[in-house]
Amino acid sequence: MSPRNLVWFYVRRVRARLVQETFAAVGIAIGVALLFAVLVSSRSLSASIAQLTDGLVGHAQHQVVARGPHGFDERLLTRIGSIPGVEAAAPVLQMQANVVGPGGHRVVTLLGADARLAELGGTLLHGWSGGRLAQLQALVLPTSVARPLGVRFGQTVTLEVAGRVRQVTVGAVVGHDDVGPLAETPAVVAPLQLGQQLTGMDGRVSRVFVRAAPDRADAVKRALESLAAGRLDVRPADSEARLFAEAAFPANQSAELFAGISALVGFLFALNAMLLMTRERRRLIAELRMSGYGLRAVLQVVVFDAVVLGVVASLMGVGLGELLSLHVFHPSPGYLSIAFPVGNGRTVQATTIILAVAAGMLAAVLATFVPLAAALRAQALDEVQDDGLDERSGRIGQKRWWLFIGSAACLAITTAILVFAPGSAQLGMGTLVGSMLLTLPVVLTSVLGFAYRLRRRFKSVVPMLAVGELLSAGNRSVGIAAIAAIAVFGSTAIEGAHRDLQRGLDPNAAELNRVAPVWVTPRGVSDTLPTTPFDPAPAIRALARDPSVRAVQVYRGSFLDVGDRRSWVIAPPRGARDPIPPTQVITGSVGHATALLRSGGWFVASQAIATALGAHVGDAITLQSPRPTRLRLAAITTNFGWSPGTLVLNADDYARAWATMDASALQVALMPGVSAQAGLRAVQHALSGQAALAAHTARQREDAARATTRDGLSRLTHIATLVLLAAAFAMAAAMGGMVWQRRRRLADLKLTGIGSRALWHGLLLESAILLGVGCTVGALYGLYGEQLLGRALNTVTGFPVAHSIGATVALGSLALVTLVAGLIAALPGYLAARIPAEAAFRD
Amino acid sequence: MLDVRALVKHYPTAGGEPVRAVDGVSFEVRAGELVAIYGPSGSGKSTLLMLVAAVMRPDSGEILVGGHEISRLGDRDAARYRLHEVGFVSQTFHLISGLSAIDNAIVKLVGSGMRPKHAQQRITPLLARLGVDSQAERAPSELSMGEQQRIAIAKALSTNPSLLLADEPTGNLDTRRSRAVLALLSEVCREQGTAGVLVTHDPEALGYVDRAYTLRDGRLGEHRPDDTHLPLLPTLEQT
Repeated sequence: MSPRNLVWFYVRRVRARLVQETFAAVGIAIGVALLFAVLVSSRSLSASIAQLTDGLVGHAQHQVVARGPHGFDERLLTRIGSIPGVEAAAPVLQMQANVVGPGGHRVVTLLGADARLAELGGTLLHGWSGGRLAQLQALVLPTSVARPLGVRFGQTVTLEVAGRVRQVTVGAVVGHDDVGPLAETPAVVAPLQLGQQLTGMDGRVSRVFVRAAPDRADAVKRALESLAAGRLDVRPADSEARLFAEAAFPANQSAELFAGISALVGFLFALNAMLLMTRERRRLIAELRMSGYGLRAVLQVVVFDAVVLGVVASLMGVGLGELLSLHVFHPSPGYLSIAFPVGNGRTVQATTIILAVAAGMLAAVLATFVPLAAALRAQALDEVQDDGLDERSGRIGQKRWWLFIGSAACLAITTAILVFAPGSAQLGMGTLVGSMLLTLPVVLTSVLGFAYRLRRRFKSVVPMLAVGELLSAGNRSVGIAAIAAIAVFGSTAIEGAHRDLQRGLDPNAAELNRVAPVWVTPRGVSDTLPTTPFDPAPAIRALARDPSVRAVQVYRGSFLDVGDRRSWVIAPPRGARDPIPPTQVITGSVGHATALLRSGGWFVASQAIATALGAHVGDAITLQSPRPTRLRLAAITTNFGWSPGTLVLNADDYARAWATMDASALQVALMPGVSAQAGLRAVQHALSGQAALAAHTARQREDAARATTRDGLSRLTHIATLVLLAAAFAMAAAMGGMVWQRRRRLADLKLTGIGSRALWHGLLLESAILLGVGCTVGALYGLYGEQLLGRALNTVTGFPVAHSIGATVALGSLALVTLVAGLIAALPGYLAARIPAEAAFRD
Repeated sequence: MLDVRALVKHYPTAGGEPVRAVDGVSFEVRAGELVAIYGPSGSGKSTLLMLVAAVMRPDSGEILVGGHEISRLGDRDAARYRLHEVGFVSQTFHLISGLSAIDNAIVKLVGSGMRPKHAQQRITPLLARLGVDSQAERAPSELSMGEQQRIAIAKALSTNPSLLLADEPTGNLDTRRSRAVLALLSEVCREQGTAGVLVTHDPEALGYVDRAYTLRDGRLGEHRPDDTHLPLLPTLEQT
């Protein structure tokens, strides 16, 4: 068949089935949109890091990087430059900071650099000559920072960094035209010397990027390692992106898994719409074959249908996904911005569009070809001489045992994954969904069979009509119930696991912060995890004079890169009440480990860090801190919600290993009878001369920590809600479509004297049965999915997960889907039931 | 039983000149009598049937069933009238494939408020009378076309209606089955004292009715035997 004829044929047929075709397109579009939005959201954060890394490192292959926040002596640069084969070496000072302007504040990465960085070929300082940058004595802000803060060139901003507060002039605002995608990153550049002054790190740098001659790269690396002498790290120049990938892995993995569930809902919607058209399509194919068209021509027609549907739906989906991405799934760096220079700019990669469109096309092709397979199996003449009856019922009943065996097999695989390999949760979720979809027809036919046996016990004709129609509808009934099941399953599993995770993290936030009633930390939101060093002496002196204060203890902490994991180092004072959060210990005794930690020479690590270090409880290892230190492992814990992992040692051991007496926070104990609020006011008063420091109660810090983790996990709730709503609308549309197609038969029933009310009630009962069965099966499987996801999160990410059975979530999802879909479907049912009996006489 | 008087129904058209679907039609059908309305496609047969079934209202005229005027009934009363007083049989059987044959047959009885068990007891003799009692628990898809039509007839007659309306009831059947169904309708009307109106363009059907009328361009006339060839050339006749 020529393309022209195919188009002609398609246009004429689509007019007759516009509503169904629209259902199918909308279904696929919803799936594509969710997939697209989630992918954009999760990939934008990684892209932000990658852009900044590329902009910084240019063609550099290596970097010499400090292990602590204090950096290292910049004079090392001269020795690095003298290594044979080194073509360029550029120092960079890097520190997380807060910029405050008229429009609010932003967490940024302050980068101190000079013209040598431009020599590496990165775009960050592209176009800036050495002299120009050195003379600037001001900050260079990207538009993504300057715009929301409401600051422009020449204005002054407040910079909160390293426990200091400084007023700095904005020397330039650079946009996309100047630095390309770096304009979307939170990188604020200062000339190196100014950066050192602002951070109080005169003569020190955080890292040196090195570009070696291509044939000397390995030799240069060996020379750098020798120079580092075990006190600095030598890493690939782009290792920041790898560290971030490891940190963001759990969130991205779960988001992409949930995006897959969203896409599945969309596909089922499309498939359902196709099932509504199965009869017409089968007749069309049969008529084509009866008219002498060969299999090839039939395939051409069907493939053309699929391509048009797929292209239109995918384009709609990408457009809708773009809106979702802009307004709902806006990338949120959350707690990761504390340790990584990650922005909240949106990056739409070509691969994201290709993946989303490919998924849409696949859904369209599968949805189109399922009825085709059925049509090709059928006898052409049978289809043309259709007897007016609906789909033949009873097929599911014949396959009941096969479905049951398949479902049990899938469930057995899921259980095996849950017990032995919870890390393979994606496969487990796939087999669980498979088991659910195989179980559903069996349950639905059993329920309908039971209802069929009861049909003569009711005085009303409504149950008889509803059960009869559902049994007539066969696969379409299963399709609609499957959407309900998937929706409630996805929502229950996702939201249940999310809540378990949140419940696991909440006590951790409390235990970490309630060790002291009042905390003093450097000002700025980046210190939710206290990791910024400051000189504690002036503050301790000021606090010691306050009569409300009983004691002040120094807390220390920072980040330490262990392999590809940026671990969070927690160093509470020896005398802290609970230096190890009691509920977070996995291996070892809390009491014993606490005693060992206080005695010194011992540390506690999260599971992943212990594995990376190859350490078991009791083992001695050398911690690769700024001053390598030998410590023994006292216990293994969860990662306290910091996905790369955690290390706990006492503050004195930290001071020795990091070669610093700086504090990251002060824990203030109050006199008996002084409340936290009164203590807070007293501390704030005592610190009134220390503008760079802020005081908070334990509760305030706890709330901030919870808010940060909630922010990071909020995408899961968004996805769960959207899956639920999309599925509710999908079901409503599918049920509406099914009802609307039956108007002629409803007219026949009206002709026999069955009133509108009885017909409408029958349709409502049908909806209730389908929704009830689908949602209940989905909720039960969702509870199992919650356990699987919870264990996966616990095993793969090391997050503290409070395992529970989320019956409330399941019931809530069930009620929401039933209510929304029921209410929406009631309208077409009502309208269809009011069809005049006269319609029975129309062809 | 059925008394139709000066019935008129016009359909407005885009051109302005209304189509006179039923144009001053009067006829009478007594209890136990089966009357045929014979005519080509587009002659107004179905409109006449819809008026008698109270599916639509006439522009003028009266329809008396058992002495009661039904042409001005409201929707609810019209539905009740169709449920209790009218049995309807058409060429498509419209059986619900998810229900058994007997369930389909008792849909009207249950819809009228009778308990399904009682309805079953009541319908069984009729199914036996129609020769499909042995198929009662089968699904419609397991029945032959003729058996499905007999189930549809059982449904129509289940409430002992005073009026049986049949719209081309043999349209989907072969000659042998058509004859059987027509004979059955005639017999049932006579035995149950039901007034029957059979709308058809099948000349063979005229052999099974008590009286026949010819409907052409909305006008009713007494049927003459030599009229039987007219419906075969409706298009030519109309042009």
